[in-house]
Amino acid sequence: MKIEVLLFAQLRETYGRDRLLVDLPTGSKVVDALDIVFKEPALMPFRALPLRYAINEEFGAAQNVLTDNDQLAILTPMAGG
Amino acid sequence: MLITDRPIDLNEFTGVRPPENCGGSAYFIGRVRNHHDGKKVKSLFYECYKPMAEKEIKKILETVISETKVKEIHVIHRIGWLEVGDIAIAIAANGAHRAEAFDACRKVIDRIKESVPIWKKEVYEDATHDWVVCQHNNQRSHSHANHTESSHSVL
Repeated sequence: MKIEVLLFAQLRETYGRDRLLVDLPTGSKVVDALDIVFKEPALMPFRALPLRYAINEEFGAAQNVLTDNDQLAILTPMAGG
Repeated sequence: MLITDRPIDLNEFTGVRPPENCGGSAYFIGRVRNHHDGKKVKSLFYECYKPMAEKEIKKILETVISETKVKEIHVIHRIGWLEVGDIAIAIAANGAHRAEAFDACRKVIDRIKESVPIWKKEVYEDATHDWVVCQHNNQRSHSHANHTESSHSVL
């Protein structure tokens, strides 16, 4: 299944793109997508940050199961206001 | 409108007349400060995950209205490049009495900082920059502190 991963802030800036597509077996979880994303050398250091995740614009967890065409956003620590 | 890339007009924002059952209106205005952690701030860049940010702000407003019993809350958050002194966020809470209006304003700004997908990059006068992490995270993302402004990609 195809998962679109959205990148923001320092992830987007470092990677040079605001999204990437990952291909995963059916039944895969957020953490499986993260394992692929953070193999990218430029992104690897960011895994140590206290990240949060959103699936289709709702907060989710690393153990949530993904479905085909889900949009997964990796959220670095937020700083609005 | 909850998020805008245009300057926030305070006269327009505060000029909206509250409902007649509201005797207390509290406002919070957040501006770009010229310093942070001993560094001189030149400008800020706010980035957001807009569809989710708007959903989360709406959820916060609903929750805070329910908790504080204010009658209404208005919020507008600016994104994009801002200069020192520019308004980044404006919040208005209208309630029957001042106590709930003050309480609502504080709760809204605290929760926006904590759980709305908006990020802030500070650019310093020495041309370095840093993505800011709010105090509730008790740390700063420092991976790119030595990059210069000219190396940034902008949405």
